[in-house]
Amino acid sequence: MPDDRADILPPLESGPIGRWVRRKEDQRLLTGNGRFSDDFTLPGQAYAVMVRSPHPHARIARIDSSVAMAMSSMLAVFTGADCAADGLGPVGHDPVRRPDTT
Amino acid sequence: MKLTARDGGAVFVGPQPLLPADRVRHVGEAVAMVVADDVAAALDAAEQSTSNMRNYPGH
Repeated sequence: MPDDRADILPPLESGPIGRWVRRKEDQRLLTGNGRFSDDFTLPGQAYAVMVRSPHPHARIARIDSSVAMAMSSMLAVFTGADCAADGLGPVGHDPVRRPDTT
Repeated sequence: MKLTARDGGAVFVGPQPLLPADRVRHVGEAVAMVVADDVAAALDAAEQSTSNMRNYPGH
């Protein structure tokens, strides 16, 4: 799509923000040819479900996974303690651009 | 646009652990991940884990 509003758009070198971006997915999605991960099963596929907090602010005293693990088809239960034991630190998450970066 | 803290320094961005070890900070925060061979079993186990959790209100 041509930028017929080029006079009010930010300069090209500033990236795609504020400009038209040509969509590549519409033909596939609008004709019912989208392929979503919930639609197919691969050999050996496993499924993960998150256990979520019902509390707005609470101390995690104990997470008992023994009942869950005793159920059939179970492969694993992971908690924050497992992450710590494996040395998995916080994920990068910086929504603001720091003054000392570009 | 660059954001700064009130004193002009860096904005505080708290750590974002994959799963929290000590406490939860919002309703719906993930505390555990169960993995199973089929989706029904995974959902059942996740439900079972919730009912066995011992969470206490924070301060």
